[in-house]
Amino acid sequence: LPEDARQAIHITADSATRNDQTGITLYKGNVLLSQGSMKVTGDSIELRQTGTTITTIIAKGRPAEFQQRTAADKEVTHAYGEVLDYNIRTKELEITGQAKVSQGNDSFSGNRIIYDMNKSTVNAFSDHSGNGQRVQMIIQPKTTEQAPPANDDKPVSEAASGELNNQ
Amino acid sequence: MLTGRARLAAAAAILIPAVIYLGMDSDGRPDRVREEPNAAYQLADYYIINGQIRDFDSTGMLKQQLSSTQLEHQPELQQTVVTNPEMQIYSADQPNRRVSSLKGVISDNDDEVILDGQVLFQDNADTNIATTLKTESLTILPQQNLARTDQRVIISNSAGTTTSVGMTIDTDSGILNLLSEVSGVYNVD
Repeated sequence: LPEDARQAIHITADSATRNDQTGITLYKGNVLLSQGSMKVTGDSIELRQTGTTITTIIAKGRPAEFQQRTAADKEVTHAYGEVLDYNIRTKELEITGQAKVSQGNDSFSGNRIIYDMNKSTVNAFSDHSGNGQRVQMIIQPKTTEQAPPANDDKPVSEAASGELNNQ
Repeated sequence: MLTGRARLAAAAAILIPAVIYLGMDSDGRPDRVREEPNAAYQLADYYIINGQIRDFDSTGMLKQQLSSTQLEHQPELQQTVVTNPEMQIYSADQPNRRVSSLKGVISDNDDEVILDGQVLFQDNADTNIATTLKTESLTILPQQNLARTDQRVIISNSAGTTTSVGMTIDTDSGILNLLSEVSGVYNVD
């Protein structure tokens, strides 16, 4: 939610290491971070600070998960991946490794996804190696009066971009 | 969480009271073999009531000051027991770090300092970047640049508060390890 960014960040974990010189705090073991409607879970979460301001949240897991309600009337957006790298200032979430973003019944998956929360746009990229994971988009037809497009369930080319539920 | 400057200077800070009395500054004192205590020593061979010890640097600037309601040296146990120790470390004549507890025990050979009871570290005290660390007991191993506790720890500053059970701090590199039950709140500017 828009007001999420103004709320305190809460985090719990089994253990943590803080390095004053680098400004990095690494939380490990059943890590849960929350800020308003935003929640991030993972095996480890690294917080990077400049001074006392948190600039970046990097979650790792099998998979790590990010979820947030972008607006009161929208469904919760879920993002999954081996590494979730969230830039707090740009509100850009980069997901690598088994990446998937879903909102309601719509979903994008690929090897790497960049989800821009300001614009609610998703850029998905496949893995360039031969047997890599290709980009897949599933956009469910909207209600009948909105002239539903054909159900596009087949893999898409190397890269794809789209917008999450923005009506 | 602890800011850069909040790195725990405990070892250096607390070590000094162990040696500044009676000129036992470790640089000036030759390494001595650990002597067996003389049987005639009773529990304490000297004590100071409501003492305040001040240590100045070579330019005459106040470096640190220790006050305590009682300080007692116990030769048989080869330790100094300090009641209500409060240590202030000065930087450019201003107290910027403060360490206090209900009790402190300092080994004669300076390899261990134990603080017990309402242990409180304050870095940049009385400023808006003040950081405090509270726990019930803290063991400082100056020669290993290490401070550690197995008690609950509360670290707070303007940016937020973090708690855990168990902590170690490398007072040289400033790396802080929170050992279990970690919970943090970061305030957003």
